[in-house]
Amino acid sequence: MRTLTPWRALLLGLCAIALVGTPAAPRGAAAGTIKGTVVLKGATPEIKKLAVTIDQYVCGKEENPEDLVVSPQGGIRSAVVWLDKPPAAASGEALPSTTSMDQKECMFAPRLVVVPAGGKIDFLNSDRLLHNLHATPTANPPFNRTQPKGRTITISFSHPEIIRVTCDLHSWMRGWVVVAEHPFYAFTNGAGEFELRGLPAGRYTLKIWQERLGTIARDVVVGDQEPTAVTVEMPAR
Amino acid sequence: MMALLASPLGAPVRAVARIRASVHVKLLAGFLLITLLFIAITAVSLRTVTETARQTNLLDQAHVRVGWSRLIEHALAMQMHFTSMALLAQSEDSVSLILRENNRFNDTLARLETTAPPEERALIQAIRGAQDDAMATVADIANALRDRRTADAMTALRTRQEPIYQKIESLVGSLVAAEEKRMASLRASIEAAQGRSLSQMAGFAVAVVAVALIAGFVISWSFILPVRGFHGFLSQVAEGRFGGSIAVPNRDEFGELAERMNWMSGELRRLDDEQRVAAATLRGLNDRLELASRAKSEFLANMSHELRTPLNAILGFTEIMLDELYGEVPPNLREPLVDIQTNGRHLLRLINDVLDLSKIEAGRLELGVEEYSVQEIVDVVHTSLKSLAIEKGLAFNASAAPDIPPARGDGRRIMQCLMNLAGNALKFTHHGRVEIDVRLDGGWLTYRVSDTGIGIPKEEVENIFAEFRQVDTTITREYGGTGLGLSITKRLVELHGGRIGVESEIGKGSRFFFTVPLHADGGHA
Repeated sequence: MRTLTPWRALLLGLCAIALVGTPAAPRGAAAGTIKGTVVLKGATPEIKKLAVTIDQYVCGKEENPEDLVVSPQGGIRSAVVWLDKPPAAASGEALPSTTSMDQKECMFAPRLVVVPAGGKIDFLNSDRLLHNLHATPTANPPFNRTQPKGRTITISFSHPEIIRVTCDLHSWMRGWVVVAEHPFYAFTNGAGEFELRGLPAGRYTLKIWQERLGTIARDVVVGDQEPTAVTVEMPAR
Repeated sequence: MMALLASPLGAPVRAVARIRASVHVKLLAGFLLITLLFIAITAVSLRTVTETARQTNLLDQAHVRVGWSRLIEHALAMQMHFTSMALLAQSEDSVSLILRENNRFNDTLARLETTAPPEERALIQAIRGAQDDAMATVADIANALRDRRTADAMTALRTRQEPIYQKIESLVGSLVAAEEKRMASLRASIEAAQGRSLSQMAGFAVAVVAVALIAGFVISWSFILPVRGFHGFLSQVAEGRFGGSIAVPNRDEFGELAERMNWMSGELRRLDDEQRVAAATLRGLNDRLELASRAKSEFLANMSHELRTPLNAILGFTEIMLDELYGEVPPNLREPLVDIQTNGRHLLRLINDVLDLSKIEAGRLELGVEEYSVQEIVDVVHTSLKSLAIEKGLAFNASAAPDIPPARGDGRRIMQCLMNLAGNALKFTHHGRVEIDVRLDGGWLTYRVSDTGIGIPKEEVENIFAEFRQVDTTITREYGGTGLGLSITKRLVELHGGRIGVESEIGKGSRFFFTVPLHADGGHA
C-alpha cells in the first residue's frame, strides 16, 4: 500500500461500486424478477416541519410531514409499484391477508400498508389519547371511528383502491391503505428499492404511485434468467 | 473618662493593651472582625433570599397546578355539556368537540403529572386510571352516535360516563384541596422566613454596631491611656521633676515607648543630680573667689592710698625744689629732679588708675551725679592735650554739637573717659590728625575720638578693654602707659548705663566711641 497511486485507488473504487451495483441473482429463481429503484428527478424539496399546538405531551412540538421522503441518493420511500396488467397464468407470492397499522406519537406507523382485496387491517392506538380513524374511499365503505388507547379496530377492504386515512383530532396525520388487485404489488424501502418476483418473461407496464407525486407508468422487459434492473424517475411537481 | 475605665469596660481595655501585638495588627484585627460580621450578614441574607425564592417558585408552580386542575374540571364539564349537545344534535361536529375536550383533559393532566410533587402522584394516577375508562366510554359514545345507536349512547352516558366523571371530579377536588393546603403552608413558610430574616438582620445590625462601638472604644482607649500617661509624665519632666516612672499595661509600641521614657527619666535624674552637685561646688568656689577678689581690691585701695601719701610728699618737695624755693638748683641737679618729677607723676597716675579700678571692682566707686556741660568737658580735654598734639605735629580738633543741653552725670568721670581715649589716640598717632566730636541722638550722648594712628588688629579688638591690656607687650615699652585706661573707661561708661566700642583698621586709624544717656541717674546700673 506504500505505493498506492491515485489511479489504483480509483480502479479499486470502481470495482467496489460494480460489485455493489450488480447483486448476484438469487439462485433457483424459477421466473423473472424486477429489481428496481424509484428516484426523484429534480431537486429534493425542502422539508418543512409542522408545528404542533395540541396534545404536545404525546405528539411533541413538531412533526415531520413524511409525505415525500427521499434518501441522500434520491431514492423515494413508500412509493407503490405494481404491474398494470398481471400475467394471467402466473400467480406471485400471495400478500398477507391481515396486516396492522399503528398510531404512535400522533403518526401512522407504518405510513403505508398493502393488503390484498378482501384482506383486513388491524388499526392500533399506542397513544394515551383519543384518535379518530376517518376515511372516505370510493370503492369500499367509508369509516369514521373514535379509538381510545389499546383498542384495536379491524376493517376489511374488498375492492382494490388506494385509500387515504386521516385522524379528525390530529390534522397532520396521514395513512395510506393500498388494496391490491393481484399479488404483483411492491412498495419501496428507505433507499427507494423494490422487487417484484415470480414474473414470467415478457413485456410489462409498471405503474408507480407516490402520495405527493401521483402515478406514472413505465414499460419494462423481463427475462427469465437475470433479474431485470430498472430505475424509475419520478418528476417532482 | 476614668469613670468609664472603672466600669466593666476597663478590663477589656487593659486586656487589649496587654496583647503582645503591634498597634497596626490590633487595628487590622478590629476592622477584620467587623468585615467578617458583614460577610456573615451577607451570607445569611443571601441564604434567606435563595430559600424564599425557592419557596416562591414552589408557590408559583402550585398556583399553576391549581389553574390546571381548574382546567381539568372545566374540560370535564365541557365534555358533559358537549356529550349532551351531541346527543341532541346528532352531528359529527359536536362529536369531535367531545373528543377534543377529552384530549385537552389528557394533555392538562399530563402537564400536571410532570410537575406534581411526589405525594400527589398517587392521586394523579387514580385520575389517570379513571380518565382511561372515560376515554373508552367517550369513544363508545361517539361511535354509537355515528352508528345512530342513540339509546346505547344514552346508556353509556348515564351508566358509565357520569359515574366516572363524578369520580374524576372528586379526585380533582382532592387534588385542588391538596394543592391549596400546600400553597397555604408555603405562604406561611415564606412569611415565617421573612419574619425570621427581618429579625436576623436586625440582630446582626445591632451586633455589628455594638461590636464596632466596643472594639472602637476598647482599641482606641488602649492607645489613649498610655498617651495620657505619657502626657502627665512629660509634664512632670517639663516641670523639672525627674526620676519618676510610668507604668502602662501595653505590650505594643506604647509599651516600648514607656520603657524608653522610664530609661530617659532615670538618665535625666542622674544628669540633674550630677549637675546639682557640680553647681553647688561651683557656687562655693565662686563665693570664695569673690571673697578673695574683694580682699585683693580692698588691699589695693588701701595700699594705693598709703602709697599716694609719701609720693605726694616726694612730688611736692621736688616741685618746691624745682621752683627754687630752697635756693638755686645747680644745673647738674635740675635734670635728675625733672626725671624724679616726671616718674613720680607717672607713678601717681598709675596708683590712681589702680585705685580707680580696685574701687570699681570692690563696688566702692560711686558716681557724683550732677549737671555738667558737654562743651566744657570737650574744651578742657582739648586744652589739656593740645600741647602734646603740637609737640607731635598732629592736627587736633574737638567739637560738640551746639544743640546739646546741659547733661546729667559724673562730669569728672566722663572727662576722664574722654581724656583717656584722646590721650591714647594722640599717643598711637604719629602723623595726621585726631578729632573729638560729641552728638546727641534721641536722649543718648555719643562721644567719639577718631585718629589716623596705627590701628588695632581685628583679633585684638575684643580684648582691648580688658585690664592690663595693650595690643602687645612691645607697645607698653614703646608707648608707656599703665594698660588700665581703656578698662577703667569701660567700667565708668557702664556705670553710667552706657556702652563703649571701637572700629579700627590696621594702619589707617581707629575710631573709639562711647554712649551715655543724656540724663544718667547715677545708680549702680
